[in-house]
Amino acid sequence: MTRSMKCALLVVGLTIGLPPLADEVAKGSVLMQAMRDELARSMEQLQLADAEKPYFLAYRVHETTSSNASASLGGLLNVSSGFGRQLVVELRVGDYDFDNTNFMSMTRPTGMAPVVVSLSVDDNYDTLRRQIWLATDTAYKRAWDQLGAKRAALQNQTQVEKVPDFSREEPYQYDGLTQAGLDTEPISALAVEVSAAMRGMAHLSRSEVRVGASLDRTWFVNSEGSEFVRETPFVGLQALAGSQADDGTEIQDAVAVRGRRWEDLPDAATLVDRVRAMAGRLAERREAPYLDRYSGPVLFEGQAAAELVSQVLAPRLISFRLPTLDTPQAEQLLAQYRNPFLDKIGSRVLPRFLSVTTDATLKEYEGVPLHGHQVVDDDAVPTRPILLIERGALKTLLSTRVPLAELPQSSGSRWRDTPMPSNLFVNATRGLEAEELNEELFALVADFGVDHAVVVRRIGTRLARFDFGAGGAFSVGGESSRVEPLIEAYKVFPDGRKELLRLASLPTIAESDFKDIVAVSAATSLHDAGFSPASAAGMPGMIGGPSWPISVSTPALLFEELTVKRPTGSIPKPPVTPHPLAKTLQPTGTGGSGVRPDL
Amino acid sequence: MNETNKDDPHAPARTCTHPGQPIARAIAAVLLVVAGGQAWAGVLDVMREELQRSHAVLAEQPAPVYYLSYEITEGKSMAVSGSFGALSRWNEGESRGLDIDLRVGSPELDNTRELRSQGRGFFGPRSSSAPVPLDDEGLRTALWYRTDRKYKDAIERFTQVQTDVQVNVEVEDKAGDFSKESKETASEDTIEIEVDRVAWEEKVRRYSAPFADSPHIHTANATIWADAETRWYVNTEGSAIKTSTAYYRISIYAATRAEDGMVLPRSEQFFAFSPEGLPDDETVMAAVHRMVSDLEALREAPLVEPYTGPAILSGKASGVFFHEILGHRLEGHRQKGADEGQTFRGAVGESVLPTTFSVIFDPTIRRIGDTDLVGAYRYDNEGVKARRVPVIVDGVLTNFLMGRAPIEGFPKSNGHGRKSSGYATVARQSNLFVEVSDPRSREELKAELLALAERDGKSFGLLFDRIQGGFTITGRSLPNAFTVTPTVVYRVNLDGSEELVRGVDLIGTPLTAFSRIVAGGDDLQVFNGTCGAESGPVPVAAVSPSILVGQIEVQKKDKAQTRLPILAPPGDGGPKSVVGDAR
Repeated sequence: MTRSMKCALLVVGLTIGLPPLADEVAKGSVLMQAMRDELARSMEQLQLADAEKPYFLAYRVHETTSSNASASLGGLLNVSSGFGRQLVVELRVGDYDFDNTNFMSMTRPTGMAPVVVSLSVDDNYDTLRRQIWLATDTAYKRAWDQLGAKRAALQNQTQVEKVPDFSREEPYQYDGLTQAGLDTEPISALAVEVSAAMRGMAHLSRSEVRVGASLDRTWFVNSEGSEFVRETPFVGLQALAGSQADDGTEIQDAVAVRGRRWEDLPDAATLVDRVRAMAGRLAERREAPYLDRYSGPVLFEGQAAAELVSQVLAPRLISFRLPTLDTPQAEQLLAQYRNPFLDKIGSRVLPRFLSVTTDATLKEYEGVPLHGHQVVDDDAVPTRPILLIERGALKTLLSTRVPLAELPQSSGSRWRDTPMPSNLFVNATRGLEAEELNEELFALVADFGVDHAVVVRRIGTRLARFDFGAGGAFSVGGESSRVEPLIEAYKVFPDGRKELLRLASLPTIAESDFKDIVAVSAATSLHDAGFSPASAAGMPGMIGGPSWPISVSTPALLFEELTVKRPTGSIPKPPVTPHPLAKTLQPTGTGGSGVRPDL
Repeated sequence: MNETNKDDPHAPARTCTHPGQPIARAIAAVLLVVAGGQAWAGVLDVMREELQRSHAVLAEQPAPVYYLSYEITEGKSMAVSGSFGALSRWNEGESRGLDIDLRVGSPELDNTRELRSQGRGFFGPRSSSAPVPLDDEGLRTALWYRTDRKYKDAIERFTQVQTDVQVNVEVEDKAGDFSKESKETASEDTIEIEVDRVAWEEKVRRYSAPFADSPHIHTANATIWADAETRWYVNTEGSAIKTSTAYYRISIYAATRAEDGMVLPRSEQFFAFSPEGLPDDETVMAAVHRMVSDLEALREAPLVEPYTGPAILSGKASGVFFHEILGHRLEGHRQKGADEGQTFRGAVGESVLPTTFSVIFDPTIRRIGDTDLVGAYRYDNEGVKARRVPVIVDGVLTNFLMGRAPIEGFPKSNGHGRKSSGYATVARQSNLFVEVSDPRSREELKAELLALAERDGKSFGLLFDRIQGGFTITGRSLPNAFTVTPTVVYRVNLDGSEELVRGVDLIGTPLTAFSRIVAGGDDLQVFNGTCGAESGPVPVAAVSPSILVGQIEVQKKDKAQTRLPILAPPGDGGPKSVVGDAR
């Protein structure tokens, strides 16, 4: 410990009335001490003439060690690794009821962004203090600037609804610091080995395997006495493959696995088998027919049910406070993105036999690791099980410390800058056995007067796909579909026959359709699914923004009536030049185990 | 042929300068080392075979392909950064990207022609640099897939070009779209680099530590960065080229802020093609201490008001001055772009500089004195061999920098078609040399400066000693002006005394500025940097003596309005506040 650090500690101990910690978080951590000391000094002394000190200050440091590799057909594409720290400063001036946040000036839209700077990765106390000091100074001046603009704008407006800007929460401490490191050894070799499994397949126009590992360590202190250190290890593999049918239609599929440790992933041989099976499915789909248009009962099973919940229902389960704007016209435009579920709290949004909970406190479920596990959220609010929908009625939404009239307190769900679902469980009080569900499905088929049903087993995931416009993902014409393409869907006939479909989409599905679920299976299954906070802003079909893995446990979902159709829009022409392997190999990939889809 | 495909990860931290600023301000640092890998032969062979296979089919289509080239760029790099004596981060990685030049139509008119109804925009058309594996089947599949996509884009665009030709006025320059060049073959060994990351981490701590001694310096970064770039190139004219180059850089950047809010930066860069070519710690530390003292002095330096009058530009400042004013305006494609200013298009054979001045671009020179020149290369990105190109001889404009886009009177490339991976190639600069046939000593230049100032009734002249970079606008829609951003400027009073000043940028318009150049010195300096323009960032150098300009213009520098930090630095024993109105 350097001399200046000792001095600062003394000053803090004498002058700052932070709540005492029962047991010091990350005891001996130079970084935590530097944050505590500069936080204490800033709360005590940071003040411009004729201005007040901050009433709230939080430092959050994201320390990331990461390593990634990608490979195609046994050859490396890109490899990268790095280590760095980013400091996020959240400083508030004013008070909990009215402060510098939840406001955006159209002339300075970046004013509401937090201050983010790089921080030393060395535990050098003096350097850390210096960097934190300068970032805090910037944040304080920006906060006052923003508060001034907000006051100026609001003096000509009457706020219909007065909601505090920041919720009061109990201080919380959590020490999740371990000596864990990041094992990057398998990354490149695994990417090469698994990607080589797609060699010799002339029906694949492209393929890629991406392997990544990271250890995110979050260090947090705030002026209310909350502190935590939290670790989020991650390892994952995505195997992507694309093919182009004879008519030019581009189709793709993926295998995606992830966990907290390498041991959570299947071994390489298993992954190779799964990748070959995926390639086999693509070969079948190339030859499969389209379904021009269908309206009738649709059954979603397994991964498809989980993705449907994650892509359509889950975005409505988070609250999102729209900022006050200094331009009323712009504010009216923004109002269309208000989450309609805010007005449905207490109303029925699912059939009565379904409930939905989220529980970040669970680390695993029936022996399977859950990706949404966290002890504490990014506001230092402890996570807890939350019953979101009870017997079909919406009880609450996930929230952060940014309150809404309907949600005055945090649910402990902040992840970066938005609320996030964690581990999502769809539970049924009345589930059917497989045979009963099948009977129900075909009873509906008869009611609708159609000769078949549609069963969807897999939907494209935002966790694993080629870039946009690359055949499938989001390229479903100009439709406002909020769901990725259906990559494993079947026409199923009452006599047991089934026909695989080449590519299909759900052009009109919305969260309101979930009320029309008529039956679910008794058995549930657990899947990884991609959740995109950007789509939670309420913009149908919104593209972009990162997608985070969440765990979704759900039964199979039988919808009374949905529209399924062939994606609209133009399709590219087939390749002019034959595939390089075309002369020597016939389209393959149908070998290997588990290739043929089987209901 | 000896090619390698390594499995050790090392990173291509792309050079990074602000894309809007041709000679980049401070090049990001660099020192690098890369580890070796196992040999794998055949990249060029696979590329050539697949190129021929695709071309054979595509040349027979209704819209036939008349030219096709593949370029694969493999980058491996490592960067280590420190700040105020502590390690900030490290990154390493490797990547391989494919660029395809595919042309339908004919050399006279093809799919790459500028669409006048759309304009090119500053960053120009960006092609698709696609990741590719250096593995037989993987490489063949990627080449096939990307070529097909490229072909479909090309025929669509060629239709647009044909429409553009029909509906718009006849183009002024009728030189066509693509030049015929000779077949080139060459192969260099892949550069292997050894990385000693721990040693670099220690260096960046050491280099950045002295800045912590100043309470006024708010930003301080030292970065050691290295990049190995290996390129494989084939085209349908039979060229097959493999080159491999390593770049090592040390970059140090620090900034303080004056009481009035003005941000005052200082930077130092060192470049070499090998780690041995970089300066030793003693040299770097001397530069660091000089930066600290410069920054402290700059805070106290008086502001200069907008001024016109005589000035001396140091060799580095002059190099950037010539790069911005002259170099960009001699890039061949700018002579035919509908939106371009075409400053020198009609000036070939005319005197544009004093007869004592000559300007040469020469990418074949790798080193001058003890300094490597980052703008050196053997082949450009269109498979054309690098060569010496005198553009101004005894003050007379004689040539342009040419890629394979011809202009009237200049039908061939002279090896300056350059780009960064992922961009479309255009003519770019390499190593710029300013030569003066009657060089003056420093004292003589200063005496002439003072004489000019006195003649013009000025009480001082200016000396631009160190610069950060510059930028220029070559189009027609905005004033055809340039800016050079100095960091260390002296006011030279009539009594010969020199006084550090701050707060000005050197500005002007090209023809006027050139007409005011008076004389050059005998003190060559090298500016190694990164130039950003529509074909991406490319490394460039400028070698120039000091020059005396009879009249320059300076304008006030853009200034932040933010107050100084409210609290004193942590642990500082001084006052708790460093601004008067803080409590």
